[in-house]
Amino acid sequence: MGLPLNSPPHTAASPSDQQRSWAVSLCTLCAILGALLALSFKTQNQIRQSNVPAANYEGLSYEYLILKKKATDDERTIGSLQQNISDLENSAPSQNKQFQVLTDDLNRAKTLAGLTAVKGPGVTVTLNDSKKRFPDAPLAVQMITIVHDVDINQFVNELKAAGAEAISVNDQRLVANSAIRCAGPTVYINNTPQTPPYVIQAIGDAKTLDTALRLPDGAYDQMQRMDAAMVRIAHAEKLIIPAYAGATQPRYAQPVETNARSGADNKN
Amino acid sequence: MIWLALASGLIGFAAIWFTKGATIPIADASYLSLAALAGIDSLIGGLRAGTEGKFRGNVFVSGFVVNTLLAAFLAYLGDRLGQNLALAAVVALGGRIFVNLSITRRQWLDHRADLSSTRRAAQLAAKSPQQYAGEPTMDGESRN
Repeated sequence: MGLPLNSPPHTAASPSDQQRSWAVSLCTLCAILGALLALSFKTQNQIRQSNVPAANYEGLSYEYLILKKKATDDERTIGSLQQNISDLENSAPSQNKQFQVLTDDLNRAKTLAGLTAVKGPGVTVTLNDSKKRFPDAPLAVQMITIVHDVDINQFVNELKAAGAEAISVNDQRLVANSAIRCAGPTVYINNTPQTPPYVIQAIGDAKTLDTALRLPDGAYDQMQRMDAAMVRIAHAEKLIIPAYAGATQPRYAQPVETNARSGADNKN
Repeated sequence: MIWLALASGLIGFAAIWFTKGATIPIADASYLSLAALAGIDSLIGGLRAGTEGKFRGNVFVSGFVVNTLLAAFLAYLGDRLGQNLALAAVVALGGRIFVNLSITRRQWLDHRADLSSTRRAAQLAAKSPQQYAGEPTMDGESRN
């Protein structure tokens, strides 16, 4: 470089001891700066790879916090309202035999519908993304190393078929209209975003459920062949599955009257 | 000297770049970027001082350390206060880098021009010594 760095008027032509000591500190600082730059580049690379727009990181995190708070508040409201309903139902005079039968009926229906928390023996299935990387493999193979909504659906379906009485995924109780749906990097379960690991809990006969899951060429078998670390089945003596926390008021569906009159109409 | 500094910078860069675990949380990335920018600013300030012949090692070293830490701390404080102080640091540092680089460039060009005119004068003097005899050369370079 043609910069006249070494020719300030007050320094001697030959490097003195003082100059040498400054050379050492200059080199040290340059090394520190290089390290800082490398760390910075690496972190920015990471941000770019994780698909978080770095420029708007603050704005996004702010909105995320607001939405998260709102969701928590809403869930609490729903919980308290459902508690109210239960209280009202239980406040009916229990001495009355008719009421007793109706309440028992209602409780059974609610348990089936997933509106009450339940406990019992069962299995826990944990699904996680594979840590293995296949950079040279085709995209289809790379896609299998990630847990998809389809995989969770397959496991849940298998559990239902094997007689599971209550199922939850990441503490989201699955009810009749629950959906497990892929949404970008997350999976929406009951319209709440979930990220791996996905913990499926199912109450039922643990042995039956386990056997059903391990059927040859089933979802478990295929995933196990890809990467054994992706799926783990554990038996549990006592599982607690929470109640469904979403809204339960039907807006469009109306019950069809199935009393004697409509039956008579059909016959005519 | 300058090559030595560049080489040590590269060594420091490579040491971090090829170390697997050397990362920081993504939330702190902006502070680190600002610290790096302050480091670059200090280095270029030192370059300018060197070309002007006013380089002082202790000023340079203390400036590097203090500016780097101050920039990161200012950005952190700004985040805590809800004010984008990082922007102020970026504007100040970025502006200074531009100014210092342009001054360094001018001085380098002036220096080159000085050198070439001195050389021309020397050549002319060698061609016709009687015409230029006794005249002082530029920049105090001796012909004899």
